[in-house]
Amino acid sequence: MKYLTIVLVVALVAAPLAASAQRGGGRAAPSRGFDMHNDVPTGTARGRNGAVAHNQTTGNTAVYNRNTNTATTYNKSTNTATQYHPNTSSSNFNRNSGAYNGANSAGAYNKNTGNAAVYNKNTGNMTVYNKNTGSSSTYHYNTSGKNAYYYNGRVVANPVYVGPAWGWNRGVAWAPYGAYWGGGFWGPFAVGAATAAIMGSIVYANQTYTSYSVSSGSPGATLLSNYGLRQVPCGPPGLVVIYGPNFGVICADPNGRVAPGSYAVNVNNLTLQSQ
Amino acid sequence: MTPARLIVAALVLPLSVSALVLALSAPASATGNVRIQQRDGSVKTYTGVILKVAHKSLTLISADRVSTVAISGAVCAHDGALVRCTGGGFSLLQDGKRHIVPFKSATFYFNPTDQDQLLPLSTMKIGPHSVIFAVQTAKGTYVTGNGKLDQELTQ
Repeated sequence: MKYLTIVLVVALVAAPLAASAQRGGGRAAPSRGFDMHNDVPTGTARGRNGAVAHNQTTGNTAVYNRNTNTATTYNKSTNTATQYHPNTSSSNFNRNSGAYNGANSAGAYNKNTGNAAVYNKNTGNMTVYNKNTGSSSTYHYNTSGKNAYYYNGRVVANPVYVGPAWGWNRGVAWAPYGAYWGGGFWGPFAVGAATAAIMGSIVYANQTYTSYSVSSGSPGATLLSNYGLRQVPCGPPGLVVIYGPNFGVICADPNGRVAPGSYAVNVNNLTLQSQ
Repeated sequence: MTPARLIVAALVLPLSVSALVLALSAPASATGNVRIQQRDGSVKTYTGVILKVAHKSLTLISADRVSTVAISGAVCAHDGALVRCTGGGFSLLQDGKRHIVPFKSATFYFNPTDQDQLLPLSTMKIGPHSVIFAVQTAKGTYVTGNGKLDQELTQ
C-alpha cells in the first residue's frame, strides 16, 4: 500500500507539470515559447517559396520579390510611372507587393494584407492602389501641412496660437522627418516603433496604425495643450482621433472645443481640420 | 492506517506536494501579456508571461518557460514617478541558445511605486509595480506587452 501511495503521488504531481509544459507560450501560439522566427534562425522560416509573399527591400532602388527570385527595379529618385507597381497582370510588375517610396517619402510601406494601402509621398498627389480590385481611384495627398491625410471638414481654430504659418515654430517651416513616426511631430520616435508607450491603435483602410504616447516638448504636445486635449489610448469610440502627419495617429478625449471625430493636423498653423 | 485513510492520504498529499512544487517553480500570479507581430502582420498573443525587471533589464519568460526574451543594459531615467528605459541589447534565449536580435528600438516603462501612475501626457495608467514595453526588431517584428512584475530590483 505504501508503494501504491507513492505511485499515486508521483502520478498526480507529474500530471499538471506535464500538462503545463505542453501548453505552449500562449493561447494563440501553436508552437512552444515565443515565436520570433523572422529574427532567429529556425527551420520553418527559411522556405524559398513560402506561402506568404513579401518583399525584401535592399537599398533604395530595388524591390526583390522573394517568392520568384526576380527583382523588379524601379527608379526611386524620379517620379516615373515605373516606380509604382500597377494592378495589372503584366509580368513586369509585382502585383501584390511592393515597398513604395516616392521621392522624399516618409517611409510608408505597402503590405501584402488588405485591399488598399496608403502611400505617403511628400510631393504632389499620390495614388492608392487597390491591389485586389485593380482600381486606383482613391488617394490622399500631402500638401504642406496635410501630410498623409486630407480632410475637407471644419477647421477648428487653435485657441492659443493665432498667427502666420510656422509662427508657432518661430517662423521656421516644420517638415516631417521620415525616419520618425508621425514625422517627429509627436516626438522623436523611430518609424513604426516606439521609444514611447503604445497608446492603442486605429484601423484605417485595412491597415492598423499604432498610436504612441506623445513626447513632452514636441510640436504635437503643444497642439494638444493648445486645444486642451489630453491623450488617451486609441480604440474606444467617441474619441477625438487626430491623423497625421506621416501616418501618426493620436487619440484624445473630446472637450468643449473639439468634438469626437476624425481630424487631420495642419502643421503650418497648428490647427485641426475635421473629416 | 486504515484503507480509507490511506486513500485520503493518497489524494490529499499529492495535491499538497503539487501545489508546493508549482509554488516554487512558477509565479502563480504571472500576469504578463506579450504580443508579437511579425513583419507580415500576423500576430500571436501570449499570456501568463513572467516579467522581471532588474539591473536596468527587462526579462520576459514565456509561460511554458521555453523562451526568455531580455532587454538588457538599457539606459534608464526617472520620468516622474515612472522609470523609463531605452536601448540596450535585445536577445532571445530558446532551445538552449542565446540569439542576439538586432533591434531598432526598445523601450519599457515601469512603475516602482505602490500607486497607479500616469504615463506622460496620457490618461493611460501603469499599475503599481507593473511594466509596459515595446520593441521593434531590425527585421520588423514588434514585441509589445505589459503586466505586473513578478520580480523587481530597482537598480
